[in-house]
Amino acid sequence: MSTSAIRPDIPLLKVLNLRTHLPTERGIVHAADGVTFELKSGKTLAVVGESGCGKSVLCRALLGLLPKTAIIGEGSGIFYNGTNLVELSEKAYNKIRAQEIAMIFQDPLSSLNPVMTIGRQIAETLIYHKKMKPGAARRLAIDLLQSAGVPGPKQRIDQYPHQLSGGMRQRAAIAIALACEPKLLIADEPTTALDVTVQEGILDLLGQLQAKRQMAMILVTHDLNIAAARAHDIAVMYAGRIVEQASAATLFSDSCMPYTRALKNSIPRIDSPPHTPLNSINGRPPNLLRPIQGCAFAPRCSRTRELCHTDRPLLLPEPENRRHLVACRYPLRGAAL
Amino acid sequence: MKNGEVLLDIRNLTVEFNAGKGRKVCAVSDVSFQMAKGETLGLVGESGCGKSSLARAIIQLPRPASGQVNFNGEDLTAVCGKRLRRLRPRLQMIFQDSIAALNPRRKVGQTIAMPLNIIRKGRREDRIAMAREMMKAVGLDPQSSDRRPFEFSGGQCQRIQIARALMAEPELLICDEPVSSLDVSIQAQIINLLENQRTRRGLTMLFISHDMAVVKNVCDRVAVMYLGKLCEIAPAQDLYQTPAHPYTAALISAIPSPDAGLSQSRTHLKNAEIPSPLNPPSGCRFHTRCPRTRPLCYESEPVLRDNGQGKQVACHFPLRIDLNPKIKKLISRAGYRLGNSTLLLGLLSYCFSS
Repeated sequence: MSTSAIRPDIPLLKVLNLRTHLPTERGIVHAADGVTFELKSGKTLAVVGESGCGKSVLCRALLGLLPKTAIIGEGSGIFYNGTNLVELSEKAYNKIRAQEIAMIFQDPLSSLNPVMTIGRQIAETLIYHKKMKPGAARRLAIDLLQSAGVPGPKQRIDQYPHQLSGGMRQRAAIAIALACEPKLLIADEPTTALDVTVQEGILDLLGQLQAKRQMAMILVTHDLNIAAARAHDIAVMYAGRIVEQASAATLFSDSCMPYTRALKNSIPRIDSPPHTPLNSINGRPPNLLRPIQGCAFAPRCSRTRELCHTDRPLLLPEPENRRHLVACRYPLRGAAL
Repeated sequence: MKNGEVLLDIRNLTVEFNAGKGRKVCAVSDVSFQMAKGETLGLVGESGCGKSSLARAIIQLPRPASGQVNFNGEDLTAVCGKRLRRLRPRLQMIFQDSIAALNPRRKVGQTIAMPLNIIRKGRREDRIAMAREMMKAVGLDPQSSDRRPFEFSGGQCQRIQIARALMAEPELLICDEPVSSLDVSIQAQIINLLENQRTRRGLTMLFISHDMAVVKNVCDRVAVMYLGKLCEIAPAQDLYQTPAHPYTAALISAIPSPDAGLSQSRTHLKNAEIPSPLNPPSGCRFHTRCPRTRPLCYESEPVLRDNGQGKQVACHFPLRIDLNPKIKKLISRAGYRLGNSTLLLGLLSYCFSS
C-alpha cells in the first residue's frame, strides 16, 4: 500500500477481536485476548492498565513487531484505513511502518541506537522511506529536532544518545517517529522513565504535534491521571481485554466497571491529609498462561456473583450512552464512589 | 517539625564522588535537617538530585565526605566500624528495586532471618520461626519461606524486603522509592502495610519518592531537594497548599491531575532540563530554570532559613504566604503563575477594602 489518502468514511484504525498467542518456556501467553476498538484521525485513545495486562503486546501487534514465534489468532483483524494489516507480507508492512504508523517506546536509551548519532538515526528513516538525498535529509532532521523542542539542534544532531538527558532522548525518539509524517502514532508509556517536570513537557509536545498534524494517537500508560488529562477516549485493559471504554470525562465521572473504580480509588489523592489509608485492590492480576474462565476480575472483585466465575462478559454499550462500553455483568451505576 | 525528641540530626552533610579526571561531583552539598521520633519525613526531587545519596550517607554506605549524622545523639560519621555494626540494626533501609535487593540464591525465609544472624539475636533454631512470624505480619504466606525471590511478584518482593528490614527492630526506617516500580493497586497495598507497621512499631520514617501524591499521603513533613541542596522543608499540608519555593510550586503543578482536562494551565519552568551536578550553576542553583529569576539569584546562594511558621525555605524571593484563609483561597484559584506582584496587589486591595 502506498501513502494513499485517508478515507474519511471509515475509522483510521479498527481493531477486531485481536488475539495473540506468544509461546514461552512456561507455556502460551494469551497477552491480547480479543481486543476490539476503533480510532479516528486526530483523536487520542489512552490504553490504561496494570503491568502485564497486554498493553505493550497490543502496541507491538499493531506494528507487526511481535516475535516471529507469535501467532495472531484466527478472525483477528487490524484494519488500517481499510487494509487488514494482519494479512500483509513483511515487505508491505515495512511500507506501513514509519510512513503510516510510528511508535515511541518507554525507554529511549534502549530504543535508540547507541553507536549512531541522533542525526543519522533521523536521516536514516528519511533516506529509506522518502528516498531523500543525505544532505536534504540532514537539513530536515535539524528541523525535526527543532520542532521536537530540542534546543540547539545543529549541535545536537551530531551527538550520540548517551550524551543527551532522558527528556532530550525521548524528544529525539519523537523526532524519528514523526520524520515520515505518520497518520497514527503509538506512544508506549512515553514518560514513565522520566521526571514529572520533564513528563509534562513531553506530553505537551505530543499534544501539540498531534493537533498540528491531525494525527491519531494511542497513548499507553499506567497512570489514569495522565490518560484523563491527555486523551479523548480511555480504554481500560485487564488480562488481555478491554473491560471498559468511554470518553475521558465519562470514564472518570461515571465508570461502571468495578475494576476501573477500584483502580481509580487506589490512586493516592493530592488533597487527602497525611496518613490516609488507601483503597487497595486485594490479590493480583491473573496469570495469562492459564485460560481464564468467566470474568478475569472476579477473584478480586467485591461484587462477584456465581455467574461471574463461569461466563466471560462481553464489551457492550451502556443503555444511556452508546459510546460507553462496559464488560461487566453487574455494572455499578450511579455516582462514582 | 513536630515537638518531641530528636532522633536524627543531620548537620552540613556533604557527599562527594569521584567523577574521573580528578573531578568531583558533589551529590549532596551542605544539607542539614532534623527528624523527630515517630515522624515521617518525605524527601522529594527529580532524579539525580541526590535523594538516594543522602539516604545512603545516613546509614554510612559509603561514609559522607564531611558533616555529621547524629543518631540519638551519637555521631555516626565518627564512630568506629565495630560500633557502627552495633548501631545499624536500629537504622534499616528498603530499596527501590526489590528484586535486585534480594539475594536470588537464598530462600526468602533465610533472607528474612539474616539480620538476626548478623546481630546475633535469638537462638539459631528460633530464627526461622521468627522469620515466618514476620512473613505473616507483612502479608506473606509463611508456607512459601522455602521459595526463592524469582518465584515472587514485585509487590511480594517488596514485602520480603520490608520483613527483612523490620526483623532487626529498627527505630529509623529509610524507604528509598519503595513503591515507584509497582502498579497502583499494589502500590496502595504496600503503602498501607508500611503505614500499619509504622504505627504498630512507632517507627520514624524517611520516605523518598518522586511521586508527590504518594508523599502527601504518607508524610508529616516534606523536604524538597534540588541538585544536592534542600530548597524547602515544611509540614506536608502547608507545602502543598502554599509552596514557598518556586521549585516546589513547579513540582506540585506538574502532578498530572484528571480534573484539569485537556486544557491545562500550569507553572512552566524556563528550562525543563536539570543542570549537571558536575558543574552546578552559580548563585541559586535553580536560577537556570526558575521563572522568577532576578540579578541577585545569579550572584549569591540563598541559605535555608526559617520563615517563622514552621517552614524553612532557601530562596531570595520566596512566594509570599499570607495569613488570611480567604485570600489563600483566592490565590490558589488565581494560580501561582501570576507571581508575586499580583499577590501583593491582591493583598493590598483586600486590606483596603476590609
